[in-house]
Amino acid sequence: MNECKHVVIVGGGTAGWITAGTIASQHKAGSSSHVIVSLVESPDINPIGVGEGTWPTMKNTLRKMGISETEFMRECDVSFKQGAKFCGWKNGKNDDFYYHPLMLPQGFTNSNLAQFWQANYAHQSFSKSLCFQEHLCEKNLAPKLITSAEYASIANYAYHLDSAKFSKFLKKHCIEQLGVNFISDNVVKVNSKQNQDIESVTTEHNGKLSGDLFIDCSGFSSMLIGKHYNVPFIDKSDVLPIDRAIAVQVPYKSEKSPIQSQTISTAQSAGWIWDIGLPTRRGVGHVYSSKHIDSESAKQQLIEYLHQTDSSDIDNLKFRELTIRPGHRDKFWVNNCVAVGLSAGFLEPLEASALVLVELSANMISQQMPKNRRAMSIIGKRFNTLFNYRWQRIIDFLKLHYVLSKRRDSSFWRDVTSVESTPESLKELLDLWQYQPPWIYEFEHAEEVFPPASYQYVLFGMGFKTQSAEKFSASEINFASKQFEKNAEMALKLTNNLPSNRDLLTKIKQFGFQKI
Amino acid sequence: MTNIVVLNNRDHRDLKILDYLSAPVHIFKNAVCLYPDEYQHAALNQAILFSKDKNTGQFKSIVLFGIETNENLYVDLDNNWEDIYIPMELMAKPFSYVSDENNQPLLSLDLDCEYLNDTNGAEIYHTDGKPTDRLLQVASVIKEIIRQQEILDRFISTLMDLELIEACNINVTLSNEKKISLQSLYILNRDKLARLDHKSYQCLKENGLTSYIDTILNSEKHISSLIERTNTRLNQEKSSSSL
Repeated sequence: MNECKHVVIVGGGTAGWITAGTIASQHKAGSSSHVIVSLVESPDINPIGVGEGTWPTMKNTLRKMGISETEFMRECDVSFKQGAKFCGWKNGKNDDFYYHPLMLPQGFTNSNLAQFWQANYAHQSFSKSLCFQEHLCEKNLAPKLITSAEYASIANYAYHLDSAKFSKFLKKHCIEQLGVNFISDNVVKVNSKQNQDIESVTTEHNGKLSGDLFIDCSGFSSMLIGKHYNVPFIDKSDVLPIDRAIAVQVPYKSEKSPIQSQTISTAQSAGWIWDIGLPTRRGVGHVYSSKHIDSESAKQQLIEYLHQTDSSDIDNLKFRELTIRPGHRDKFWVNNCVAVGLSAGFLEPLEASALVLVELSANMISQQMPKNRRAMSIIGKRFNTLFNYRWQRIIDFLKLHYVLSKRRDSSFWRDVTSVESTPESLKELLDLWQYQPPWIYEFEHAEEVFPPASYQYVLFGMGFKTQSAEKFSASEINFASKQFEKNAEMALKLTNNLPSNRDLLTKIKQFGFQKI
Repeated sequence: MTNIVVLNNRDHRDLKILDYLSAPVHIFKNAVCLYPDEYQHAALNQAILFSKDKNTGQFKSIVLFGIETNENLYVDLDNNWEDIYIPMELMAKPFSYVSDENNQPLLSLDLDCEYLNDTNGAEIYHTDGKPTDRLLQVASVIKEIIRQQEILDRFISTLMDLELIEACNINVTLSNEKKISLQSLYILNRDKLARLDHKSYQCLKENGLTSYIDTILNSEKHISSLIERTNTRLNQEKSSSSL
C-alpha cells in the first residue's frame, strides 16, 4: 500500500512554515513515523503579512518546534497580548467598551457565576469583576516577570508580532533546525494521477516535485484546492459583510510610549479599526464593508482615529489596501491535498482566528499523519467534518459581536444586526441563553476554537441579559462572593507587582528569559 | 524605591553608613549572592542554591540566611552574628557598582537604602576627601566581586547549556504547624549529573568547575539545618512570649 512518506507544502508565509515546522518536529528523522517535508515558496510573491495577533496556543506551537521564546520575541518584534478590548460596539458612546481576556472567569470550572454577577455585581463589568486581566491591560502591564521561565505565565498571554519577520524566522528555523527541504521556485503546473490524486507539482526551475500528501498554503490564490480541484467557495458576506482592509504601520510618538497589552478593536460607521502595539511600532488598520462606505471615507476614518491616538508623522504613512473575501471552501481535504491558511478561507480578523486555524489544521494533520493512502481518505473525511464545524462556530462567534449591538446609526449597523443576517445556529443559542448562561456543557467538542468562557465575555460585555435566577443558596452565595473577592485581591496584587509591557520587553532584549 | 548614584567625595563626603554588623537585622534579605571562590567557605555551615536575579532574570548562586524574605537566623535577637562565613556581597553592603560608558566599573550607592545613619554609621570619607579605611575595604571587596562575577557567569552558562539546573520547591511544616513553601529556588540536577556523558564531564573538568559542583552538592545537607534553626527560633520566641 502507498505509504505516506513525503509531504509537499505549496507556499510559505506563516501558514506554510507553521505547518512545515509542526509536521517536521513531530515526524523528525530517526522517529518511527519519519516523514520528509518539502516546502516550495515563490521568490516573487510577498506574503500578505498583516496577521499580527495570535492566540495563547502559539506558545505551545512554538515550543513544540523547539523555538526559544526569547529568540522569537527578539527577532519578530513581538509584544504580549492579553486579550481584546472592544470599543464602541454596544452603543458607540464614549464610555462604551468591554474586554475579552485570555483567562477563564474566576471559579469558572466549579461554578457558573454569570447569573450571580448579573444579580449582584452588574454595576461593574463582567470581565472586570471576574478576571484580573482587564485590570492589567488597563495599566499596560506585562503578563509575567523577567524571572518567569520561557513560555511560563502569571497571566495567560498570546503575542502581537511582525508577520513578515515571523515568516522569515520560522523559515530559518524549519530549514536549519528541523531539516525541512526548501525549494525557492514557482509552481507552474499540477500533475494528476489516474485517481485524481496529485502526483507532483512542476516548478519553473527545479522540475517535478512529487509527494504523497500536498498541503495548499498558497494563500488567496488557492492554487491546489481552488484552481486545481475547483472546490466551491462558500461566500459568507451575507453574515459578515466586511470585505476590505486598509492597513498602516504607525511609529510611536516617543520611545517611552506605553505598549498596549491588548488588541483594540474600535467600531466605526461601516466596520472597525484594529490597533496592535508592537515594541517598535503599532499596526493599525480599518476593515470595512465596501457596500456601506467608499474607500476614501474609510481611509479618512482611519486617519481620524490615528489623530486621536498616540500617533506621529501621519502625513507620511504608507496605507495598504487589501480585499477580503469572507468565507471558506466547501471542503478542505480532497484526495491527497489539504488546504491550510488563506487558501482554505478567511474572515474578518475580529478575534484573530486566522493563525489559530492554521495551528489547529497543522496539529491535526501532524497528529493524524496518515500511514498510507487508504487511511488518508478516512482522515480527510474527518478533517472536513471537524473543520467545517469549526468554521461555523467561528462565524457564529464573530457574528455574536454584532448581533447584540444596540447601534442603528448607519446602514452597516442596521444590516449586520438584522435577524435575516444571523445564522440559525446562533439564533438558537441566543434563544437558549435567555434562560441559562453558556457554561462548560455548551458545545460538542473537547477542543472548541472559542470556549464557553469566551461567549460569556462577549455576551455579558455586550450587555446581554439572561433571565435572573430565582434565588441563590447560602453555599452558592458563599462560593460566589469568595470568587469576586479573590479576583479583586489578585488584581490588586498583580497590578502592584507586574512590570509595564515596555519595561519587560526592554529587559527581554537585554537579558532574555531563562529556559527553566 | 531605589536611587542609585555613583559615589564621589564631593556630594557624599558627609555620609555616615552602617555595615552588616551594625545594621538592624530586619533590613537583611534572607538570600545573599555567593561567588564561586566563596563556595567552600559557605558550604561548611550553609546550603548553596541558585535563584534568579529579580531585575535581570539571570541565575546566580546564593546562600540562604532564613526562610522568610527578611529573616536572618544567623543573627541572634541581640544583633550578634554567629561565627559563619560572611559573603562578599554582605561585606560590601550597601555599596555596589555600575558600569560607565566604557564599561568600566564605578563604586555606587543606593541613597534610599536603610544603611544611611547619621548617629551609628561610619564615615566613608575623611574631611579632606580621602576615603576612609571602610571605603577602601569596600572597594577591594567590590573589585573581587567584579572578578568573580565573570567566573560565576561562565559557570552558570555552562550549567544551563548542559541543563544541570532544576527547579526545587521546598515545602515544610514548621513546629508551629505553619506550612512554608520556598519557591523560586533551583538546585543542581543530580540525575543528570550522574548520567553526564564523557565529553560534557571533560568540559566541566577542564574549566575547573567540578570542584564547585561537588561543594554545592555537599552543601545541600544544610537545608535541613536551616529548617531546624527556624523551629528553634520559633520555640525561643514561644517560650519568651510565655514568660
